[in-house]
Amino acid sequence: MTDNWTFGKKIAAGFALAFLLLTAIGTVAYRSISTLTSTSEWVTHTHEVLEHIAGVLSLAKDAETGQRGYVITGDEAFLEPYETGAGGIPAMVKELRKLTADNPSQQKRIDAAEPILEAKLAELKQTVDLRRKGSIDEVTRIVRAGEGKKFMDELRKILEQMDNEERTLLKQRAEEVAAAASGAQATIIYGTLFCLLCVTIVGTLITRSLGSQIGSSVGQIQSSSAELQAAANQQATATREQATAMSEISTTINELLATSRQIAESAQRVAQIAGQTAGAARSGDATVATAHESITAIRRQVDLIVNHMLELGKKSQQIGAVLDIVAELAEQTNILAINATIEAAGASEAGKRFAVVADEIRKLADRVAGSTKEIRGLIDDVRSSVNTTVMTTESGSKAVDAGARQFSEVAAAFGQIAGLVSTTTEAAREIELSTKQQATAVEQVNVAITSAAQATKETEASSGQTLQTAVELSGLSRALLRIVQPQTPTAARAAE
Amino acid sequence: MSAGASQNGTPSGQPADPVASGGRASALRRQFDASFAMAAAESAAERLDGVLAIRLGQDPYALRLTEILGLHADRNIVPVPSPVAALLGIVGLRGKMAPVYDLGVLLGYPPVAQSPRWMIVADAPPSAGAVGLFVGLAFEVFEAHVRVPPAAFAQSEAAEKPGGGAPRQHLRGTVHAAGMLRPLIQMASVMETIRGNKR
Repeated sequence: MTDNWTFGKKIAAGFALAFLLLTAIGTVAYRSISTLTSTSEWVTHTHEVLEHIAGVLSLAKDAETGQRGYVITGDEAFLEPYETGAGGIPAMVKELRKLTADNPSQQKRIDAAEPILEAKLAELKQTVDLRRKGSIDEVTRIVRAGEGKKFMDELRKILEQMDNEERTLLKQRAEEVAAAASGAQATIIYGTLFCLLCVTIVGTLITRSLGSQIGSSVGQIQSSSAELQAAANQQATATREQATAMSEISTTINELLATSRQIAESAQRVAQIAGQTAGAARSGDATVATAHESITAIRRQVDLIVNHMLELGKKSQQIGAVLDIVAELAEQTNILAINATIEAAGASEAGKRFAVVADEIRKLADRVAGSTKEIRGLIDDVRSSVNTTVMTTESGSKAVDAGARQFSEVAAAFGQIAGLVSTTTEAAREIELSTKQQATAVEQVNVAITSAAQATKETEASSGQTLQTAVELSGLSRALLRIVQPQTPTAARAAE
Repeated sequence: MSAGASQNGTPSGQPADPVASGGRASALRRQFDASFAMAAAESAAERLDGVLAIRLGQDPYALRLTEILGLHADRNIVPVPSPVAALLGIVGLRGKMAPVYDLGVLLGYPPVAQSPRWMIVADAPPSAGAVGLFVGLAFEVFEAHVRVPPAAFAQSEAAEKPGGGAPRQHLRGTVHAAGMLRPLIQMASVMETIRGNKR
């Protein structure tokens, strides 16, 4: 249960136990010393009573001594002890009565002694008075009567009784004082020993408990301080690396800053060039539109050419048809001429002349056929040329169409280029702006990095301090461990 | 037809400019007029023989004009069933009916799908034990009617058929006509064959 107590609680418990024991011992000792004191007071009181008893007797003796001197000598100088004793006795008896107020038997004896004293004093006064008057005889007779001696003997007897009783009481009270002193002594000795034992046990227990607790804590502190030392070392290394990295970062950021400025300038130039490009694209768009109109006109002309060429082809075909008829006629003429020649061969001399005519007709027909053939070839050439021209023109027309389409596409592309270039211009301006902002941000970052580098240097310094502190802490924990634990070799090695 | 061109006209295929055409027309006209201006005897004294240049299959042949009766084109041949492979049908000629034979088949060529366009008419007089003949002989291509001098003819017993290997009995001699050497088809021999078929 006490394992969970705090140091303060344990120490407070130990001190509370010691306090209780001291209080008990003190109380007992106080009581014993009070008893001893009161007993001693009673002894003193008894001695005082004894002194008063002796005083009363002494005063009575002084008075008698003075009376006798005066009576004998008549010298007034001898009356001084008489007057001192006679005057002091009542006060002394009164004090004695007060002192023995708690003792009825002594009061009774005082009651008995008082008349005797008065009688004695009266006898002394009578004799002194008589002497003064000069009646020495009377005085001698009174003394000889022995009245005075009788009073003195009784007084001595009573005072002796009182003295005896007081001495008995004194003895009894001295014994009581001795007993009280012995009790107080025993109480103090045994109580102190008990207290020492308890305090020793509790102190040992507390010392062991605290020693083990502090020892384990100090061991933990030692391992923690070792870890802290290692961590501080690592931190110092890391901080140095960080400082180097910070320096590199700062250099890189400076380069980045320069690059950002270059980018901003380039973006500005790009924006200018893009603006010029946009103007060129717009003028190109207008040029393309003009070219498109020209191509449309060419297209119309080409269509006309194609129509004319087709018409020419049709006409050539018609010529061919007519030529077919001519060729057929020539062939028929040729056949007729041949047949006429054959017929003429079978005739007489007239037939020979006819044969000549027929031959001429045949020749004519041959020539016609040849010319027809030539014409046909020419017509074929014309038709072929027309076909070629038509095909070429159509392909040209298609090319013109394609060109027109391509021009439309080019126009659209120019429009797109203009749009894109305006977008590019805006983008370039945005890039310029962003790059300037970036440059500003990079400058801020540079400042921040410089601050961070400074902070890193400070951190490096503080980590060095931390390392030193950790080393000191480790040393302190070793010292503390040596303080709280007995220095065995194992413990010493552990502490190291 | 190309024969006339080869002799008298400009080769076909060459371009004819208007000036040249005009020149040619006037030259033609002069030649035509001159033929009538010359004496008939002079013309006849040349003794030129007429020859028909034809083509059977891809091979050129020639026919003497004196051996035939006429030349026709695009005649309507009415087909008749016959065991004779060369007989194409019959045709009406100047009020007479005449059988038409494929000259190519008679000379050993395979028959063609369409009946030939051209046709010559020939006859053979009746002789001892034989009837007279009046027949049409159809062929595919008529090339030209040319007149050649006698020197152009070359005599030989049996001329080689141009393609080689086929019957030679109808070919007698050659003639250089229409730009090339042509075997001459002898109509008498052909007629004999037709007559043999009839028998």
